[in-house]
Amino acid sequence: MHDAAMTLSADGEVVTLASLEPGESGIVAGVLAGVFENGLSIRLRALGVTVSREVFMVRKGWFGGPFVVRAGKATEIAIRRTEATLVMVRRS
Amino acid sequence: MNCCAPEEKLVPLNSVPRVALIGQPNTGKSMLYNRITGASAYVGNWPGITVSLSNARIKLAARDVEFVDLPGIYDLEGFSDDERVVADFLKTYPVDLVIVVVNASQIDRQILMPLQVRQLGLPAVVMLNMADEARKAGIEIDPAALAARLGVPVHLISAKYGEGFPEAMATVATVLDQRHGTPPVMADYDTLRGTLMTEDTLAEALRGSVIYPETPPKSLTERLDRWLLHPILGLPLFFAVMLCVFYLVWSIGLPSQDWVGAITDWIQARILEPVLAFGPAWLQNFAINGIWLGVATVASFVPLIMLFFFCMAVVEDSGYLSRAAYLMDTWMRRVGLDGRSFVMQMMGFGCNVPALMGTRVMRSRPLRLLSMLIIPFSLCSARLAVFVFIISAVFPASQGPLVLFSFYVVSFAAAFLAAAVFSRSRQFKNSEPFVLELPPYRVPTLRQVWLRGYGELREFLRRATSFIILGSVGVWFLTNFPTDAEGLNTWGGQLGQALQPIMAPIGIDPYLTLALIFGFIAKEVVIGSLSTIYAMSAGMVAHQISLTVSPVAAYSFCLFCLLYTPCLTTVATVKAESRSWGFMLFSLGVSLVYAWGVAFIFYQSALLLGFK
Repeated sequence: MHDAAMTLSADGEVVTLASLEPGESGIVAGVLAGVFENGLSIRLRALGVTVSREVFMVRKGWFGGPFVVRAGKATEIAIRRTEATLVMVRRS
Repeated sequence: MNCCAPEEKLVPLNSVPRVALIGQPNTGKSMLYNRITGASAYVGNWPGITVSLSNARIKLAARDVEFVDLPGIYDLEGFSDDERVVADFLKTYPVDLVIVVVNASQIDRQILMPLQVRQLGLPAVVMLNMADEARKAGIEIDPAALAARLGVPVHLISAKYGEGFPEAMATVATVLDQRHGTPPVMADYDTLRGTLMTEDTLAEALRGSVIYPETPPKSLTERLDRWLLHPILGLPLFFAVMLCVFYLVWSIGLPSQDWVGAITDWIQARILEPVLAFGPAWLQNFAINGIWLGVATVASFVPLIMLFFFCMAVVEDSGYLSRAAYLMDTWMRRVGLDGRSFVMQMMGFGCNVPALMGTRVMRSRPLRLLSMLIIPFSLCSARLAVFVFIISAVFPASQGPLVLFSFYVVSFAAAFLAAAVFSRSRQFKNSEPFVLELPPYRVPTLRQVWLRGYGELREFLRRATSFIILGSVGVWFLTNFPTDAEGLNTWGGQLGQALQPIMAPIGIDPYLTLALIFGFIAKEVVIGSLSTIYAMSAGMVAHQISLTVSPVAAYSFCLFCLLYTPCLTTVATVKAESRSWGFMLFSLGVSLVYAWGVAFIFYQSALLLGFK
């Protein structure tokens, strides 16, 4: 689940979570390891950001601040820009 | 119940059934634990486990049962220190039952933990907490269907309001009854790690028993966040909240110290002095100015600490603290820290010691060490008391709150500067992801706020009382020998004078130098020690200081107080948490040099600008 396919598919284009605008949502396609090894994907799984789950961009902080993302039904998380670029989502 | 020596308490292998509480952060697990155990919980050490855990022995259906509160963790397979603590515990100490606490609204993802516990082979009862919130969000949960699917009892409860709680505890009692005579179970991590849990596993577990509404109702949280997390207004609002807390502490906390002071003075004048009058003069002097002074110092903190943690509990339990972490992350990131370091730094404003312990949530050691390096610059409540005393003695009342506020600003600035400098070194470079839950806003209950204030107070008394009395006695010896000496001719006075070449350039006279030396033990000692050093009552000392210490020198003294080592307990905690003498000595050295440097720049600039 760490190597998300960066391809276009029928369902929508695969982009990073960071490129969703507030109000947009997507389905998680995968979480890249980046510099965090398993740490990021395990923590995100527990918070509900994991393959085939829906994520919704709630707001983006200014001055390069973190994002507020709704994961699944009722969880809101703050995630830093650099971490969000490691989450691949299929735009919906 | 054995509650007298919690430190040394060794836990016998399940002479009574052992029930462990586990759950994610923000599930209200600790609130449930408090509801189960009441005030009987105490912190104990468990051999093989690196942190102490809260546990309690209570009667459940006529049988003694031991409850253990495990740290809140996101994932049983995770790698953070807390996650390792839970794994170590479950592998070392067999349990008779695990209570898995789940936030009912977030069962869509938190169902993971009950499933993982099942893989571990542990007998479990699942408690879906915050049932009231789930209902408000329109989430329908059928506990019976879920129980059938999971194969363990499931209860919808509200630990906060007590709903469903008696039934859930009755089930715990029943399960323990059924297990009576069955040996406890050790967690089987091999099976857990060998099982792949996919999204389908989670969805399958919930199918037919949990229904989320198509469109969730507009929540209060959403509306509040529009303002409180506003890209521009968010930060000013945050600082306004903090300023309110300071004003509350100032306007209630400060007078409360006088009330306690009046009580301890009364006890001294009406009880101690008449009784001690029968003994020799030196004994009276020692008992009153050594021991009783220490006791009175501790007592004067009681209302202040409670008030502070009442405020802290409200800020934290309302869900605002993690928003503060979000708001501050942009700025913290620039100095190599993250929003969580900021939250811990905020905790440090109560007491540096728990804040240092709280850095455990950070997985990356460099980030943790950097946070631990800057937390001691947080203006803790003990230093607050010193500042309040000095400020009210030297500055006009109208300026007091502003001067105090300026120390909070300095505290932040000094911490950020230190972080910015040290984060450039490889030892402090962070590699941990920043992902933080933002729980919905909640109204904290009085019970919660009370328990927090009371708990922190108890912890403070336990940790600090003997320390402070010893420190006070130590000051008494230094300021009363040689026997015929007074003031600067005593051992302490000589010490203060010997240090003048270093302290004079920052405007600190020998008396205050001596106070700083004792402040090394604990800042709580400083005010008490001033009474001993000047050989006057606290009220007279304030008067004396207002006559002999200029506002500039007083400010310089406070700056030094703010930045050098908060107390011996902090030093001990830094050592324990970093598990490194080198880091502890480094942290100590940095704080002393830093304190002197900042005070020097301030004092000399002020003199140059013509202030006296």
